[in-house]
Amino acid sequence: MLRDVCLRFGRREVFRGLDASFERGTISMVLGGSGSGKSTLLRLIGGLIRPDSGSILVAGQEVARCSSRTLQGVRQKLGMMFQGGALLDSLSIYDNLALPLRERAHLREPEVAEQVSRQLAAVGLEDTEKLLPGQLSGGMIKRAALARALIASPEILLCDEPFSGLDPVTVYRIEALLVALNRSQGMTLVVASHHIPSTLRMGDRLLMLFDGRGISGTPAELFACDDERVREFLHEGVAAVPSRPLAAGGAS
Amino acid sequence: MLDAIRKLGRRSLAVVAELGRIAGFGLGLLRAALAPPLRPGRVVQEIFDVGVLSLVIICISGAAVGMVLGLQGYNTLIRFGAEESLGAVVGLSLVRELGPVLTGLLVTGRAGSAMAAEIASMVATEQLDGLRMMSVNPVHLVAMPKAVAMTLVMPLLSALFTVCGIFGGYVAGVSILGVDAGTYYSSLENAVDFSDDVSCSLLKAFIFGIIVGLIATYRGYTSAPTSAGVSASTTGTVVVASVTILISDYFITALWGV
Repeated sequence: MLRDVCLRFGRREVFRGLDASFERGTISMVLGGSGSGKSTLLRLIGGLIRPDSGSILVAGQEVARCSSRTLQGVRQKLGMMFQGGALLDSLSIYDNLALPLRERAHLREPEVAEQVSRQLAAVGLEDTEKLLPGQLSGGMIKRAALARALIASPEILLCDEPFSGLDPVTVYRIEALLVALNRSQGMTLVVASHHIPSTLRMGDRLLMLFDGRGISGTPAELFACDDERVREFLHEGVAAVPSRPLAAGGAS
Repeated sequence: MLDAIRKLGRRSLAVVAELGRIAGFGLGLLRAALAPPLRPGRVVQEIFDVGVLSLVIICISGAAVGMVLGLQGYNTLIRFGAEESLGAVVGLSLVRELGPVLTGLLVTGRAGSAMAAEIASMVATEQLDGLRMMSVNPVHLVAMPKAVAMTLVMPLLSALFTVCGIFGGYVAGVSILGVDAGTYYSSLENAVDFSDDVSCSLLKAFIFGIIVGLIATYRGYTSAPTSAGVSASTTGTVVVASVTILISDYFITALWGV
């Protein structure tokens, strides 16, 4: 939950009194134009940047002003998929995925291998274990990054533009995977995305960022919203692309 | 006038704050080096990157510097009829001063800059943030092995530089200019004391290793997450580490007689 969060980068005001809440066990989609602060919002939740003022509660802990030790504890419940992947380019895909298991869970190597194989299969990257991130396409890097974010079974998953650069089949596959994780394990998802069809298929709630503040609601509520910016953004986004309902649920 | 004083004050405070941040980062590195896991595999990999890949440049530079010393030393000493002291001049110059200092400067240019650039590009591509989000301390996983490797490797490379330099001095003095080989080695052996000169030379190189390792990892770690930030951290490392080596060399020599 974010309350009255203000953040400024130099002269640029990113958030001015942002209030938002992401309920446990739901899929929340964060929308907004380029530079509206979607990625910054995820980084605030992850404690990678601290707000100038305001409060950010994650899994019951205040992360806006906590110690690094507390933050480390909170992050054990979080997984984050970065927009560019953020995979370690000196390590193979296998070692990238194995890293959190070796560092945090201290699993034995056969268990690590089993989990890595399972997670790579889930995102359709079975034969990439020995490759370096530099040898993968942009879309494959995104899927590997998602697999790494999921491998330690986080309670809360933060995804930054998980669908950009992916083909429609892979988009649908990733959507289905995320929805299945949410429905079967109760994983809380906060997804920043430009991809309106996916947003509407998956999202239980939407948060739209405009001018440093947020407008939130269910997809139906936002479609009925009077705010011209919201209407324009959503209607432009869905105008040309018919949505396909997901097997595991989600708005259509 | 008042503005100039204010500006000077602001700059002084900024320098002190930066020194404080470097000291804090250094303490973090020290804690990481002492805290498990010790990451021997990563340290060995870094030793390879810093040490083994610097061997050629160190050997060639050492031999070239030694040959120049042999040539210049001979031309100077012969004026006083003291060319039999060539081994001592070459040996003492290399062991006490040129070996550690030039090795420090060469390793800064080759490995220190690469180290800073690598960490800075990890910052720019959010790799360090990715580690933080996995509750993995980037200082422990990324910076510490590099700084430890630099500290361990510098004395070894300095010793190699010195040996190559002595060989270069031998080639110039003995093989080219005709100084007696026995005279060259005996004057070298008589002049250079192991417990004083050699061990102090290694200590100096060790300190330079700490300086380069600290500055390179700090500049990379705190770089701006842009390509300009990568470039600035690289050049900053070379400039700051080189100047720090030269200044600290004076103080180490003046205060400890090393």
